[in-house]
Amino acid sequence: MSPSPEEAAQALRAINSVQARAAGFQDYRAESLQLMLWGVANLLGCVFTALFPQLLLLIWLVVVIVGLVVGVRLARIAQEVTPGIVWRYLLVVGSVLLFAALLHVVMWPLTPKQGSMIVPLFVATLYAIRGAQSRPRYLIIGTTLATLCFCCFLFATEHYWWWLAVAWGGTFILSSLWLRRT
Amino acid sequence: MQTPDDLIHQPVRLKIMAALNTLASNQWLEFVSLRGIVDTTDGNLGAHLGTLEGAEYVRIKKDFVGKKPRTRVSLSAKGREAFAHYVATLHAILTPQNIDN
Repeated sequence: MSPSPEEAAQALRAINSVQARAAGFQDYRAESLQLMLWGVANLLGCVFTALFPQLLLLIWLVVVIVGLVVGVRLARIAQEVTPGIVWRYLLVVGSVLLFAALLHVVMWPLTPKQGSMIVPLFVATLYAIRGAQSRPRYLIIGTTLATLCFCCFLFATEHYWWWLAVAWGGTFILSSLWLRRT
Repeated sequence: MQTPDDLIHQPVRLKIMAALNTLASNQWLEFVSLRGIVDTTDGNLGAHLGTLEGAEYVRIKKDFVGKKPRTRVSLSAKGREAFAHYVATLHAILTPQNIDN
């Protein structure tokens, strides 16, 4: 028997709802890989900065280059499904790095502690905006990252880089695991 | 008036088909992920996947990642075509002349 128009409309609504859920799930999956990568990278960067503060610039240069190389390889995996993802990925990471570099120039001189807040707060803002527009989990990730990093800046007078490793790297790693859960 | 495919018109199977239809033709979705999207139990999902596989609407691949078994599901070309036809039928039911009738 043919379904009524109400049943047909209900079936179409169910299809739209599942498709939105599936798209969100795939988006979260792809993002979780990048969050894990940059979570580990930032955690190691902060730990090495805590251990060898005089090598700060060299440490973060290595962290960014290695992170970028591995990140591009991860993005390439998704290239078949989402054409152009590698260039978009490079554009996003490049924009974050350019923003950080320009802000250093504008606000110079900055202490390492002040400088260390630029990227996590900017990235947290990007996640919050993305979350407000489309996927709610990103809003929570952005808010958590900003809150923890800013608390670190305000209250962690001793062992600052160790606390930032937990706040920044830790938030990314836990968020990555969270995004893998449906 | 056209009748939609009864095999797809069951709520859980409809969700399975809709979720798999978002993937590219060469892409597979893990069973656990599909279970999360469809929001059902292992047994229920397995039974409905069996029905869809019997109709050749889905392909099921079982392998191991290390020592861990993994089941992945994909929509076949026949399944994609059937789903497109099913959606078109639903839209046809909602056309003004069919609603008036």
